[in-house]
Amino acid sequence: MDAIELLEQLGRVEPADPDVLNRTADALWALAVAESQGAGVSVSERSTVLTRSVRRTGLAGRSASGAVARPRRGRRLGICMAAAAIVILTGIFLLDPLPDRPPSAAAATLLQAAAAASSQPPLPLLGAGQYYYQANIEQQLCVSPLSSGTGVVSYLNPNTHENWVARDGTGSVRLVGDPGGHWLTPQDQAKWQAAGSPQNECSMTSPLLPLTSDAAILALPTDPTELGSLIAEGRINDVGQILPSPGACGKATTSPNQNSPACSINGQFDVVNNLLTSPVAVNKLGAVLFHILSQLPGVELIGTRTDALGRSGTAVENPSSGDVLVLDPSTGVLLETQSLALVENTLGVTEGTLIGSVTFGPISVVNGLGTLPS
Amino acid sequence: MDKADEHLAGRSERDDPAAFVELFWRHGPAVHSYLTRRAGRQDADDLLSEVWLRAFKGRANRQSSDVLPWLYGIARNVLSAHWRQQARPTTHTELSGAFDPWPDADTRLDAAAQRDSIGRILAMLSQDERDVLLLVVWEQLTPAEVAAVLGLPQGTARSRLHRALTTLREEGTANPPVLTCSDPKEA
Repeated sequence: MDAIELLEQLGRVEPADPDVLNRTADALWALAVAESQGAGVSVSERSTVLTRSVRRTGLAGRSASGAVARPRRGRRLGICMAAAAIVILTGIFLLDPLPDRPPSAAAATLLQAAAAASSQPPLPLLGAGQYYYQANIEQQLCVSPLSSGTGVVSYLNPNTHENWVARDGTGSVRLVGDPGGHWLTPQDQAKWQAAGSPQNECSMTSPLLPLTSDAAILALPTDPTELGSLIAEGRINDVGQILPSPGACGKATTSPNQNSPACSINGQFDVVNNLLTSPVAVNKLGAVLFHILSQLPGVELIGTRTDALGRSGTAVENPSSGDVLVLDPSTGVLLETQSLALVENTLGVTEGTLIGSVTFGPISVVNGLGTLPS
Repeated sequence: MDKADEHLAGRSERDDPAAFVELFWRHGPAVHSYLTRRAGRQDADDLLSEVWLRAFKGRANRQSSDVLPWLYGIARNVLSAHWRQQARPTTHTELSGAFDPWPDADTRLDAAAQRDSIGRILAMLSQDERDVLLLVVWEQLTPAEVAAVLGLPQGTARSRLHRALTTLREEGTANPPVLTCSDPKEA
């Protein structure tokens, strides 16, 4: 090994702590929003902005080995910054026992939603400096093993995710903490108190994060057969990028059968579910994606559900993954995505418990980043 | 020139300041590593925001066509100011702040000696030569990019790099920094 190689080795450093990166992104966001709104923030105010943002995130001085430096939106937006020992789940509701319905009923519902979505007017075109705005409610169930060995405790941590998406698909998200976080049951709180009330890292949130661009999603083909084939081949990842070869699907099949899709049904449902969390993608591809879901075997109709905004919709589920979509078949609008605990869950969450939800608010056009609808 | 960088930087300068946050996620980790190699992890954590907030404020006046060299240039200025404030010699290279690159126990035994040996060679270089060398070896910049970081003509950056590499190779050969770990059975 020569001196240059040694010098290269000496230059190796550990990656930055996600908390450090998040704090700087947070401060930059605050400056960007202030500038967009014409308020202007002088450099001398910088420390105030930083302090405020750190306080808001609740991350100061903490490690967050489980943090996601660049989370994706929606169901997979893993915002709850918890220590490695803490298992994050998503969700809040409890569902009724699942009725046994024929899959064809789900397909019919999805096709009805696809037809309705295709007849909806497109989103209004954005002018310079305008953004699509959508406020989504995400509720997470954070399950933490107690270090005392006395089991696990579950904490509900709701957030509002305010999304601004520009016409090119880029965007930003602001997380607004909801003071309504609470223990799932009185028993959870009692167990936590009995264990000495250890620090509850489940309540940590990160309010300022960039969104993964929707540009790739907007460029996807709009033919259901073509797009469905790409997804089945495992060539579409969950941010909508088309890969040259299979590998995008995180749940590939193990069957050597040449007729089997490279991506499992669960994986396909997962990809479509994630694509549906993009507001501009739903507008452009909603009908296509509902159509693709209708072709997936095993998807079931599970009845009527009320979402976190009080809207009533029809729920379809992929029972093998526990993923649920609540939609309005008459308009083709996706109201909510949910995740159910499977029987394999060993964290003390009972089967059928709905452990995750993202509720999609209406889409508006606003005149600047950080601007709210009037 | 990275087109995505240029696109984001342009947007942030025109009508979408938040595009700068996207730039941060592209290059924030690299800038943090740059700071860590030179100032240690704790100072890097403190200085990262300073670099990026300066960059945000000064983005409209960016001279360099490439974003990353421009950011390294700002980071270098922030480090200089930091060291002045700390009354710390700017010739110091904080190798001790680096991540231990030797995973095996036997090679780790020699790590301190190797670090000292490399540090001795680096100390033989002028600060200008050392800056160019480390930007190439550690940050993987091209000489043209290094020139942009340091505000030098490209030819000057190349000649400094040549001198630094020559010194490193000659001194490294004359005084091999790699120490062998003797086998206790044969001692």
